[in-house]
Amino acid sequence: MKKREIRRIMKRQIESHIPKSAPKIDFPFAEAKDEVVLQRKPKPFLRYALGTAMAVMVIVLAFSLFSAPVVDPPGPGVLLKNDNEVISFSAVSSVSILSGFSTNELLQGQNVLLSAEEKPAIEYVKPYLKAVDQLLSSDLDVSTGVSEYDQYDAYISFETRNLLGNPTTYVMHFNLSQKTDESEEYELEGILITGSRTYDVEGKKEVDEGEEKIAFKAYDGNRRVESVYEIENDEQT
Amino acid sequence: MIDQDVIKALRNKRESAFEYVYQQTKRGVYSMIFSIVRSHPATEDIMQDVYMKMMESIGQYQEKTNFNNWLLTIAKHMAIDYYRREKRVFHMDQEDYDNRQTSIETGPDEAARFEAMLDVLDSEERTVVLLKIVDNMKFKDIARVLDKPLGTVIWLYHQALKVLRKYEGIE
Repeated sequence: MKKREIRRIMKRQIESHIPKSAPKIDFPFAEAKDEVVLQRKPKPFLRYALGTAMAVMVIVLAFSLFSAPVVDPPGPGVLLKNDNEVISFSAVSSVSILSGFSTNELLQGQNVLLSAEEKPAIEYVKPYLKAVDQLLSSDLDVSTGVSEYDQYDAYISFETRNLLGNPTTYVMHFNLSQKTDESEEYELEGILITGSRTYDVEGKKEVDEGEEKIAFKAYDGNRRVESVYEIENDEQT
Repeated sequence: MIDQDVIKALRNKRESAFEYVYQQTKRGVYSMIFSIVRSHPATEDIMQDVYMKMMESIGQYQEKTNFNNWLLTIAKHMAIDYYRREKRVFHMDQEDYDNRQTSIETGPDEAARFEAMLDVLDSEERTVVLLKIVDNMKFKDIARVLDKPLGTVIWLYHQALKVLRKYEGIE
């Protein structure tokens, strides 16, 4: 069953039970006639201005999409403004977890022991979630350009604080390719350099019926950290 | 949208404001309560109490804070109180699970399927999933209402969908 089908069933089942009218509660409502205007209609001028602004925005978006396919416009509920920031954030979070300090140190720091003792899965994930929250709350200073390496087309450089709170610069050199001319699938492969260490990275972007997914992987020998970024119903996750 | 004008009308005990607020918030309130008590009749009863409480406490609502989150917090506490009072325990053993699985494979009606889906989620997952799917709430608002970090809420949501898909035999 697709996620969409699960959502459809849940929504329909709950909505079919919600009472349509407000409950009749024993509360002394005001007796005076109600003349409260609860929804203001936009004035004609405002509607015109809004329409014009939307049209301009569509033109600008169309232009920016065709001229620079890597960069997406910000949408509602946005934490990261465009693909560059998504890729940068994915790279930083993945590599930080791989390199900043070892998994054991991270878990021990959060008093989560890697033992046979049974804990809910969420307990093991919490330190990573906290780390990602920390990264999301800090600013990413992103710049892009042509890579100095022959085998890569472009680079993204970003500066942020790592999981220990120290300022750190990351530079990723990469190639981005579209799978076919018609499809909305892109693949990224490259290297990410921070300090004296280099990591192999790869990523993939898919757009399907309004849902967008960017998966990013960073490798360090046998260890791998994968992050998945999704936009679902206009909200990033 | 519930703005300051609506709140003011609520404080003035305007019935139309009450009806408007109900229409704007009923999905979230119902989802929150139902995810905890798992009974439609009980949810309706508690819902009535929640809106009564809302009218009684509207003077305590702090302006410029999210009204929907405030109301959902009331709903959450009242549902938990009810659950504790009734000491309702929803337990599903392996036999139930197998029966559910069989009935799904043989084409149950949607309500049974829905119940079966909720059974495989824990209470927190149910709350996150229902608030997100039924009320289309932002994760950051769900995080505030549940008093959990944003990352945890997002993880719970995706984990729940993964569990549901696995349960349905997709993954």
